[in-house]
Amino acid sequence: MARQKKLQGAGQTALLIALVVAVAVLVNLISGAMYGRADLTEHGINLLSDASKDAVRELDGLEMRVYISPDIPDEIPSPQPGAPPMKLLGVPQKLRDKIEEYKAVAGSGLTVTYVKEHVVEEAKKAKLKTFRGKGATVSDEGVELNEYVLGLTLHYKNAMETFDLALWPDVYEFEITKRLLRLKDKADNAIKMKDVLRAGENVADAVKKCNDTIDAALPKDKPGEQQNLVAMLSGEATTAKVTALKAAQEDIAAACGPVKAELDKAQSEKGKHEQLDRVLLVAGAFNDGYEQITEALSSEDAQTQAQALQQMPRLLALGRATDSEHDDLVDSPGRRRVGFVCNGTTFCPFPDDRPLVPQEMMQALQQQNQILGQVMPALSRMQDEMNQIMAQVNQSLFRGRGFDIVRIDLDEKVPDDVRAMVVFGPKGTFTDYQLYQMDQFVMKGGSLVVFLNPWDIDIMGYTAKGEPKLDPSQWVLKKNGSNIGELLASYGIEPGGGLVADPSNHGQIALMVFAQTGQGFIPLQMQAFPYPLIPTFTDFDREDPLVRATSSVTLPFTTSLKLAPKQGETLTALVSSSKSAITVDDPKFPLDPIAQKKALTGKNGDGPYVVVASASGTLPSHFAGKDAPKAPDADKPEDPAKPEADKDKDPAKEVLEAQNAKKDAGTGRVLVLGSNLGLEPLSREAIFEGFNIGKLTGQDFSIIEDFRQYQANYRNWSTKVQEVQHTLQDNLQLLSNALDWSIQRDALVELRAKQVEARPLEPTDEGDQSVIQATGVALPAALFLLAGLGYVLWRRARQRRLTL
Amino acid sequence: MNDTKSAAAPAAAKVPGAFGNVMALARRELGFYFNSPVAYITITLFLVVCGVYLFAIDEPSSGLSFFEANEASMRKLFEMIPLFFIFLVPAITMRLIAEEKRSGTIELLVTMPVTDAQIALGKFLGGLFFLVVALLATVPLAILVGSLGNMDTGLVIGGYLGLLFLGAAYLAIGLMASSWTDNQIVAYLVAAILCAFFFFVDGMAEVVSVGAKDALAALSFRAHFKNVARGVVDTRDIVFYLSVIGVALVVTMQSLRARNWK
Amino acid sequence: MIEVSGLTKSYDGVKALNNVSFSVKRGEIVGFLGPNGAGKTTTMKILTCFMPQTSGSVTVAGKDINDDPLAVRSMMGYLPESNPLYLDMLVYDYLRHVATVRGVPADKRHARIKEACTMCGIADRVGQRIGTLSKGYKQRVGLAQALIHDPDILILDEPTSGLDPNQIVEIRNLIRRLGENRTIILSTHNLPEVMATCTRMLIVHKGQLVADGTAAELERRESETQRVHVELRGAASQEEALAALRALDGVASATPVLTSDANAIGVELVAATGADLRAPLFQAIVARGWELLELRREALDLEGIFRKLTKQV
Repeated sequence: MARQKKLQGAGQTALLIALVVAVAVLVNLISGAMYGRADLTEHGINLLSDASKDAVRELDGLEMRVYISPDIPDEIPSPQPGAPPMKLLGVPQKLRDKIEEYKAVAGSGLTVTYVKEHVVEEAKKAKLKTFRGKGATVSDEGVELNEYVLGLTLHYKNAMETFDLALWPDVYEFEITKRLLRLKDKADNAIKMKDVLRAGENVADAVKKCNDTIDAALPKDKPGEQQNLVAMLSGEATTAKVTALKAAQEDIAAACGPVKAELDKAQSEKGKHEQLDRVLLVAGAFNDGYEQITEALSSEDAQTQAQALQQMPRLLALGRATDSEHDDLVDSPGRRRVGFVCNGTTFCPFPDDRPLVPQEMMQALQQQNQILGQVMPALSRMQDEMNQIMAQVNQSLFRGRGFDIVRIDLDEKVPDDVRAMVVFGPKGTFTDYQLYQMDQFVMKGGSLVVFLNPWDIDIMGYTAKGEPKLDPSQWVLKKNGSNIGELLASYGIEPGGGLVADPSNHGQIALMVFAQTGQGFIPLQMQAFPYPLIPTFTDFDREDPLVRATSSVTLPFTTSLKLAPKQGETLTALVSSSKSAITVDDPKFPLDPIAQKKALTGKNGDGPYVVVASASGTLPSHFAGKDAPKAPDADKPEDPAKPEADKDKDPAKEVLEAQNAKKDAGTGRVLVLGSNLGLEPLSREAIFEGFNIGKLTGQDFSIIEDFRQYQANYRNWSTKVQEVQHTLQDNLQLLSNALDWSIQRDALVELRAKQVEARPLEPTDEGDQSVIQATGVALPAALFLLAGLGYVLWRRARQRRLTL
Repeated sequence: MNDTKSAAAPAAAKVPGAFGNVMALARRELGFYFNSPVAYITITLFLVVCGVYLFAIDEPSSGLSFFEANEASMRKLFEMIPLFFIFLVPAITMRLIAEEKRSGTIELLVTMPVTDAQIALGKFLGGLFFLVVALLATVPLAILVGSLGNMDTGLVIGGYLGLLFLGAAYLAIGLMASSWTDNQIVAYLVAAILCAFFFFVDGMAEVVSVGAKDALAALSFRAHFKNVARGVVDTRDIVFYLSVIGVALVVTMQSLRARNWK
Repeated sequence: MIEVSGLTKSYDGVKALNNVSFSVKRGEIVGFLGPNGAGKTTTMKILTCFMPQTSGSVTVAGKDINDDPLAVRSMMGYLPESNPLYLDMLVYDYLRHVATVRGVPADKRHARIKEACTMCGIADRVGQRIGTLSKGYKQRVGLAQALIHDPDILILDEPTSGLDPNQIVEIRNLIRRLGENRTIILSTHNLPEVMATCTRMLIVHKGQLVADGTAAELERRESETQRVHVELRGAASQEEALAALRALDGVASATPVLTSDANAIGVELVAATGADLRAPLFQAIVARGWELLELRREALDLEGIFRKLTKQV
């Protein structure tokens, strides 16, 4: 009976505990579905935005492989030459944290694997870029800087994305979410493109196998010997190589045989996808080279053999090129690139590698003309400097913020993977064909973002003599003649032409204060003045994600926009001025800050003016009912700096394509901003305005005058940028949003770069550090024991007093 | 003895109520800790270990010392304290019930007008207050670090909150272990092993099978500590800790009640 | 006040208590008597709701101990067998702790502690740590905690065990005083203690209740069948004497017993119920011309009764 009772009691207890555990599990499951997260950190750096949450949740079965070198140095040289070194302290932890945050949101839908062994090697296999730091390894082959990796790969279905060089914690969420969105695109498109992708993969695999086999069979050159012509010609090395290759002949034949077969098979897919064509082209070249070399090697003639061997590096390079073209093919389904239009004197954030004067001409010219001997190097230096600035801008404003940007020449075919076109501050005129290209881009569903640059403003610029124009009467306010407005008007957003000035809500302009000396004027320092032509806007369309999270923007020299909706489209005024704003259309309007304020006093505002607007829906074509303009001459001389791959294109086909596709209405989107955010064009066309090689060849000395003008132009560019640069910082968010909006990643528009603050210790010397250490060890314990002693004494006293 | 008195007695018994009972029991435990050298030795040791670890020992994963890492953050310490707790918390909890059983005071305790739940909760809270004192004693460290740079206070608060919940879960487990035996050493070892198991269990995924990774992580204290270590309070983690505490307290109550099976 | 009926408790099939029933009225001091292992402590543990019974029922002031254990517990003060105390606490703090848990309102706690301490004679020790007290004082602290909430019922398990004689006397006096307005159940294996303090006693043996009543009642009941010890001289033989005595009216049996005198014949007679054998015996012996050396009624005192009860069964 007792035993029975015991069993019964134990049974009840077991049941109860089981029940409680079950309830606990259930509660946890429920809370797993309905949960809240709060971020206690100062800037809320942890939590993901809804866009990121949705993105990661949508990819069920996502895998992240994380590659973090265990020994990442505290500091590495900056990727940009001249910039201060980058601090990497704590950065890996921030990456880990961010990944954990995704994991926390995705739950079991996401698997995170941290690669622990041979991180760098594994990362290289996964095609992650590495970076080098301070540490170095000395080996037989010399001193080599250590390589480090910080990044991850994302895998979803068959698609993959890599995020390497994850050195900027601010953009982690943006970068990762961007790749998640791309991964989704890729996985979806990969199904549609699967034949193309498979053909590319088969070809690339065959080439890779062949290439690897040859590479493995080939005896390696020792370093230093490579360039040794004597050794190479001595025939010894050649003989050895030929012998080695012949020995491996069967293996090579077995490995390389399939290349031809795969190429033939892939012919059926040719023409369906640009990037596949590129893969096939390179692979074809590889195959041709392989066949030639094989043939040559099989001959007994030593000369032929040696020649064939010389072709070997090219063959191997082609093999590697096939591989990288294939990578691009795999990547292409998820690609949404932003193209920057570089015609019409726009702000075009790419270094312009084309030399102003071709190298071979330069020498001849310099011999011919002494003055040119001095001017030409100075021009080159100027160009180098400009390129450096552009590279920096490219990285910090665009690539560093997660945008995949490409240069667009509207006279060429617009690449397929460009989803958005940005026309940034055009000053010049577009040809009809260029306008047509933009128009058709929009008609075919692309996004067009235009930052207007309506007026040319020269405040305190330099004269060609290099003197600052200190007299405000010399300052110039001049309308730009760009015809982009005609195109935009077709979409219902017509630039008003006038500059918006707001006497009550505006920012400042930074002007240089000069000191006059016997030598001339010496710049002292920048000083800020209130400036109505740099109005501040606080009236936003709160329903649009583009500006929803923005609290205020200050746009320098912005024009107003007139909205006239066309049938079938929706126009949205995103940013408007206050009622106190007016527009200025008078070139005589004072630019001097004080005079300007004075000129505006007592004027009644007639705002609000729209300064940022978007158009969507069905947009009418600018060329509706007209013939498509002709493409520029297809036979024009090859531009030396043009990307090589473009050579293989058939221009006739392009024209044909364009003609066939002409549309009179389309569902693209257009975003127009009245200001260029202070980013003036720094292009060859803008600075070396009117430059002509022909001018150099003659005995014309006006080149010196021209050169001075170029110098002044360049200097004025930097002056203009500096005068309003402070507003750019605040407008970066708007700029990023506009670009995200343009590639239809509305989700990313909502994603803000989180402010991740480095929290360094205040510098301390060794002595202080040991004091701090000792304090850290002893202080808490001492304080605690002191409190304890107090308590014990109090207790003693109480004990003594204790009576009834 | 008259009738009025007998009627008044049960009524008077209800005045402090369940909460009063729990707090009285908790206060008794807290009194025990701080009226004997045990608390002072334990906490001082804990503080010294914390101070030495934070300032004088390199962080195991990065190999950087506090000054090399050059970050005004308590995170290095906060990520290690859960390990210290595996040793500290069982030392707090081992005596809670085992000692009452050994000395026989359990008989007095359970014959007082308190429920088993009140006993379990009272003991748990007593331990928790001790833990709070131990954590508060590390605040000077945080202030010291904060004085060395621009520390993220939210992160520190989050860290303390996380440690409190984690420590509370350890405490409940330790109390449960203490209720299973009248031997404090046994109670300590069982509690330490259980705490260590629940802390590291997510790491066993590679040993068991990768498929179980998420399930094991869901059980793991370490996995649930990750969020709050970087300043994110997630209701799921709180629910997890609370349910661990709940289950452990129910088991404790049941093992108190096991005397009834005889 | 306390009704116990059919109380049974088994440990792993061994019955520690078997069908014990008794009731205690308000104001009684009941001694629970029995040798070690008789079931005293088990009974007390059941009464105080420390452990449940296997079967049977216990009600205290009309409340079943299983249905409303908290109410029952709050009516009782309990001093367990080994007097366990929190040795690390001060006497005052300990009593305050118990008072709090026992539900004494905060404003009355000090007064109650004072009263209990005064009553138990530890008023001058309240600032001392319990661990430093002597055994007698610890016992008093144990008592004080048991009556800190002024309970109607006190259950004291071996309150004097391990104390020296002086301390025992003090504690007994204290219990007597406490019993003036309380119901007390105390257990002991020491008979004089019961005689000194209790108004009533319950004797348990091997889990069964073998006696229940006041000392006088027990004596009386156990003495109902008279036993008479006779020593005589002069009879021809023992057999003759036995036969003669057996023949007397009212004699149930007669058995020979050894005597100190070799010539004497000793007989022990048991009377039939209710009969007083002494006068007829005297007359019969005298009538036969024997010498009556001794005629003694065998009185069973408590000690004897206890021994008798706890040896048999």
